[in-house]
Amino acid sequence: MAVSNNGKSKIIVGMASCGIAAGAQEVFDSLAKHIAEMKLDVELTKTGCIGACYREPLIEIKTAQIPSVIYGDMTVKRVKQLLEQHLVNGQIISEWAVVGEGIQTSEQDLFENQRRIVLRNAGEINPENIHDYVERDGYKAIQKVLKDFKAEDVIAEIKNSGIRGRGGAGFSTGLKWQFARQSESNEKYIICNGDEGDPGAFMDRSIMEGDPHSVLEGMLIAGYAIGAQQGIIYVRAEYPLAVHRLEIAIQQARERGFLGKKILGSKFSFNIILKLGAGAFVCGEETALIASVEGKRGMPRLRPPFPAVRGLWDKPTNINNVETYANIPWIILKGAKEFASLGTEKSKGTKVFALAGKIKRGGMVEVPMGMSLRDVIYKIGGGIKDDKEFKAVQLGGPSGGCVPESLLDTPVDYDSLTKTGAIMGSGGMVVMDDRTCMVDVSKFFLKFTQEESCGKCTFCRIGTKRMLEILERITEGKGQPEDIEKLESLAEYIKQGSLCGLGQTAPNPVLTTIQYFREEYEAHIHQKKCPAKSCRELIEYRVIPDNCTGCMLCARVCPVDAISGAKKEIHYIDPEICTHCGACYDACKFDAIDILTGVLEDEAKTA
Amino acid sequence: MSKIQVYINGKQVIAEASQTILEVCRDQGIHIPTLCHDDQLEPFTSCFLCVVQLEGARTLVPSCGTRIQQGMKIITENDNIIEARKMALELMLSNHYADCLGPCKLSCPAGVDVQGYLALAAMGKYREAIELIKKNNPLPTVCGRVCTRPCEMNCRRNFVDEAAAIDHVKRFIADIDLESADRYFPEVKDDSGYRVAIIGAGPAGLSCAYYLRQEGHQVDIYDAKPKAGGMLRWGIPQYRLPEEIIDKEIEGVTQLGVKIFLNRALGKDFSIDDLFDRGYKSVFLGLGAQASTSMRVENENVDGVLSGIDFLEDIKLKKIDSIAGKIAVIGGGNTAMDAARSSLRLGAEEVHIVYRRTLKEMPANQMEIEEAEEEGIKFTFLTAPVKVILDKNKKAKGLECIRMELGPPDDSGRRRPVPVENSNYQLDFDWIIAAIGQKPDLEFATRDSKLVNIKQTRWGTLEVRPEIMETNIAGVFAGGDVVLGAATAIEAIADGRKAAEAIHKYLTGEKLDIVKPPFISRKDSFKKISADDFTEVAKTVRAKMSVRSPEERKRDWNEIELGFTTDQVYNEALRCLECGCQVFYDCDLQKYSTEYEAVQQKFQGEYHEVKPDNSHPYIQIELNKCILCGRCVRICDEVVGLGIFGFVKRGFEAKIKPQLEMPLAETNCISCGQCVETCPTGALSDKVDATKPGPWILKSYSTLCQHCSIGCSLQADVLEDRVLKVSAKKEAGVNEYGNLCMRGRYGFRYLNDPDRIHQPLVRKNGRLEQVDWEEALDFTVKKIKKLIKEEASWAIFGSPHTTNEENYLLQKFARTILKTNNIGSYSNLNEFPEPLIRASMSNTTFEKIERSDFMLICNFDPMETHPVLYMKLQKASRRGQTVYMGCCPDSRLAKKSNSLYIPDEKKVLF
Repeated sequence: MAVSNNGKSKIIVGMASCGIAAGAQEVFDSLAKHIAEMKLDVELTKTGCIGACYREPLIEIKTAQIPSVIYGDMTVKRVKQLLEQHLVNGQIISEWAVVGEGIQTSEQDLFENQRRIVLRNAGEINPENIHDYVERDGYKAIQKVLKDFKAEDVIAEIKNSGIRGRGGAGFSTGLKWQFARQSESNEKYIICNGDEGDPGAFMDRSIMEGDPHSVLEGMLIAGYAIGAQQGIIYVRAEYPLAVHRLEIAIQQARERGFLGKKILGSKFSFNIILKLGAGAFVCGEETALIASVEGKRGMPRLRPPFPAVRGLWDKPTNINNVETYANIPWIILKGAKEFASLGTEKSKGTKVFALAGKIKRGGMVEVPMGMSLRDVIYKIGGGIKDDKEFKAVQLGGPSGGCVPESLLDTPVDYDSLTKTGAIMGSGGMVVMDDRTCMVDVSKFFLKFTQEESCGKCTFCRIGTKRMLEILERITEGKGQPEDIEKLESLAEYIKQGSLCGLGQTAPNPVLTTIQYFREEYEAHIHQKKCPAKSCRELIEYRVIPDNCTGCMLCARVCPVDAISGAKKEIHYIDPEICTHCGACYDACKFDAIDILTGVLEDEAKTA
Repeated sequence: MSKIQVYINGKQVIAEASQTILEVCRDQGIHIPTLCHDDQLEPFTSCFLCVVQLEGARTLVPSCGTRIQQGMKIITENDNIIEARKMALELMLSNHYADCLGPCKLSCPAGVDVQGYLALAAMGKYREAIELIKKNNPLPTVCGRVCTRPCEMNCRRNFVDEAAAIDHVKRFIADIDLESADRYFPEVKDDSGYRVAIIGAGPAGLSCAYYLRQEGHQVDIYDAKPKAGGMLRWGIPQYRLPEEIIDKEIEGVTQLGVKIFLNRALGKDFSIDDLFDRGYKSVFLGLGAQASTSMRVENENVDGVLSGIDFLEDIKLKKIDSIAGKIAVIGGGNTAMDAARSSLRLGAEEVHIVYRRTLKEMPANQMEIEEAEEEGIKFTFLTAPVKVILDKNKKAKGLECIRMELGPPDDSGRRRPVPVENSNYQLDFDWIIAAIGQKPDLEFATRDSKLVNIKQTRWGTLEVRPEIMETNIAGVFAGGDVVLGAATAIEAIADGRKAAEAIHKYLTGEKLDIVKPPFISRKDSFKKISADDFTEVAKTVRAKMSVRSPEERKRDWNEIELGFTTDQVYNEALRCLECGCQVFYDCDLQKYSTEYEAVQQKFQGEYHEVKPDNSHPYIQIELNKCILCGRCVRICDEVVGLGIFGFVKRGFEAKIKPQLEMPLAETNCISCGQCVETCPTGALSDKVDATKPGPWILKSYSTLCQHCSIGCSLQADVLEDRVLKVSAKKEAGVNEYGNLCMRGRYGFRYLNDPDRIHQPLVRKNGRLEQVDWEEALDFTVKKIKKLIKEEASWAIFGSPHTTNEENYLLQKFARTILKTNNIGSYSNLNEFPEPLIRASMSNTTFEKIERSDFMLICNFDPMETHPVLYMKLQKASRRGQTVYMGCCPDSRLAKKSNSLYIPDEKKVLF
């Protein structure tokens, strides 16, 4: 890694949405202020998501002496000390460091075990400056293509790389391009699907915020390959920073002649526009997305015909997601062989995951295909938060499923994950510990899909609603013996009787949790008990007299004044008033609050 | 077009490569249900009713949108497919908060269409009303007097104020028919050659005979008594149901050719074997329940203790003509009331009704109880007889009774009376009439070789398969009290009709399988309907039946109730809340739900209760019935090109609403009614041009639209002299897909205008007078002849409303009679420049226009003048055919197609 080209020291602030949300803008402003005050000869710049979101705000410092150190949990208060110590005195503050060249940290395996292709520039370049991208071989791939490749060659190269769609379904990208290429029309379109909407997923946003040009370049290459002149990036309006940076990137690419008529002197003309989505999850489905671009209600239609034959404005259209396009320039530059050397037999390359939930190091990581879930969660993610017990990992968002401990050694590839009942999906990975109720989890995801269903297909519109109602009553202790069977039969026909991926996969979280955690459902239904002690209607908080010191802390935090007892007296929680919010449980320092659940346990305790 | 080979259910089929699976299956006569598909629309594939399976594939595909491929192996029905279709329907039904039929019809044992006849009565169409009633009930005059009226008990109007006076309206309708010179008799089919014997001329037997006879079978009724009518005659006093009425009502049955043989008792005069030997192919047992149930008290079989039912019969037979002293009537049913009130009329000084429960539990009709009280009958509640006290002649002189109190509810839901210990006391009476109940008398069956093994229930009634009323003896059917125990007239009538249907099948060799009961959506499946649901309905007062005063009536046997007036009938009919759905007879959701035996309560959960949108003059929207098939949305967009409807919201909350969620009347709707025509449920329906809208099964007539020169085929649904609905006659004419415009669909209403002239008028002495056609024609001929003589010169203008044929006649008339060539018309063609008139559109067909690559519209806006032509053009323009508009730059079609209008020069091409 190099310092900036004029030999000056450089401070890079991670300013993707994750960083900004954690206060990176304040840190950036404070850095600027102190650099000016201290009259330091430092270049202050910003970059996209560095990846270790759990330590945001993150900053990287590069000097001639110390090539690179990334500091985490930066605050305005720490800025002055850091500048003095690191830049003036040349000393690394190792307790603040996340990772750095030449130093040992407990978190360095987070970076060491990754393989960054898509994220090759994330955290390295200033996404608002095309210069940074060009510096790092940006737009070299399109130049190479325009100079040396026929359209067919590009498609052959992409096919040879073995890359499959990163949006979730995993269809061969090269084949998809080939179909669009083969469809005859004087008008064709390239669409980039940036309608990322899974709860807990933020890969595409991070790419668009951190390296927008890689997406543009990928689309350019696709456009050249299939013979399209127009590209559309469909990005949701709730991603204002991504929109802003894409707008800047498109503007700069036009100015540099990477977009527009007769690109780089070739015969190839290509333009890209942004289309902002209003935030309907279903618009991530390609036919619904096309309808939305056309100004219609985002509703999927039956395929075939596929968009490659009849897409936007009934013209052949190629749709890939953000991550897929971001891979393309790398494949062209480094060659299909290099890409295909990564990953497994049927799943090539790398995959970006958004690690979230009860994991120590939540953030965005990129790993080679084939790495086991265990390695992703423990080696990279650092294991479970508060060293609790791992229970399950939810993959693929609302369309995916929950994979239990027994299947943690499953390699991350399309086919192995599908076998577990989950899917690769777009890369959301939500880790759950033993306090997570699996019925509640499936209810959460189903509520999401139900509310996001476009309402077209009978099964998806009403069937998921009825499933949700059953899950709701199970978690409220009103489950009926036939409920599991009812859920399964509804699930079966919702999968068969829905037009698009949303409906076809909506029951997956329910089905996988029934498959792997059936006893939890049964406990809710038959014993009116939530084994994870999470479902509010099925638990009761009690003071453990032996542990209670009478410190009054629980009574103070209780929002409904349900806890009585004077100082140094054993407290009492009035079950009539208690709303089961758990504030006392979290507050108690003496493990003096117990959670009871279910009729049997309750009776056993009192007996 | 290329043909390819597919396999449907294993059978090889050659079909057009461009066809969908649904189209191929339809061509092959294979029925596949669909709710979201309409042939003139692009496939939408949302209802998932049309799913089929492809061999080798695990999942289902919607057949309406899937094109066939070479070698495709299609399975159109298996367990998986049926289950999927059923579940799709059940999911839709779980959010279909609507009533197919009103609770009145549903609670009527005979299923009489109450809503239908009330609506007819509201319009004064009493003839149609009696026809409708008699489809289910051949004895309405009787029922109009003595029915227990479950319809009124279940009437939703009870939640507003009081039930509509349904039964009184029925009596009015039936009385008018009974007294008319031209009574209604249903058509009787040609002689079938089969003979059926019916035993018992009571309501069950008469009903069975009435419906069997209509099928052309020879029906003979045998009755043991000297007169027909069964319990109607012998068990109901004259003051409630005059015998003259019964006689006339029975004529309504015998007039069809049914023969009644009286004084012929089964078991005494003949056996079932005799009947079969004499050539009857089937027998219906409508024997009634004529044996009294005993009181089960000491001394009940002594002098001075009478059975209620025998007492009533003896009065009719004039065996009893007076009774004196203090009378006790034991029991709380209608027979008890009848016996008590009859006693009064026979001269009794004091009559007591002794009942073991309270007033609330009494099974007698409310009105009977009230009238009995008015007449001075005394009620002793919570009292049960224990023993009849005898005088020295062993004749009854009183009752020993015990006080009762009410315990917990029994099987009937009424609280069970429990004796209070040591509360016995004595009451003095001269006569004791026991009206506890009746049961069938089947003692003779043991002596009848055919019936000796007939199955009986533990209550001593005959056991039948309830839907078809067949006993365990082949060819022997039964119904009425002999099956039900002592029940009601309307239940017996219902049994008789059910049996008639089954016997008809039995005779004609049809399978006696129980038919699938029709699916009925009910609001009660979702919640308990209450007064809260009717807060917007204005309260009105139920009309009171006028009755003779108690003082006057209790002295004679004349009928007490005097009947309704026409005004009362009208007002009561208007009080009907029209609970049943307007499109019940035309609803695909109902039809398929029946076919797949869908259960509405299978998936219970949240549902949408939405108020109807009544803003539009012709169209009513009831969103709670919407299944979101989107046909209205798409037809208004794809065919009409307006896009008035759209989807709003997501998930379960997704709904279809008019643009900007406005009331329909405030949108740009052009009232073409395409949305109504395509709606597969009652979510969109026509507002019917009638005082009350029915619904009814109407007579349909085919006709052509007269409003412009396009010539759309119409189907007019007519109620006697009133056109109630016009729809496109599908599969015929230019509008084969069902297209119509506002003029065609709703423009018929002028036909129903009361001021419309139906007969020719001729001015005589300065005043217009109605004349017959003959006279009017003569008058016209005379006038024309006079004018011709004056050698006037003529110019003739045809109306744009006239048909081609009429125009042809008009020009013939002009040229041959008037000898003029000056013929013109205001039709649009005359506005075309000269060369175009000669090449007028009549040279071509609509099919050719639709298939043209280029279309040029000159000088008119088809949306304004010929909307159905416009629909074809706008669809063509969508398909990619080029439409040039040579005029009307502001027209919708010009905006959607290639306008040749040059704005700067402010001129059009032509």
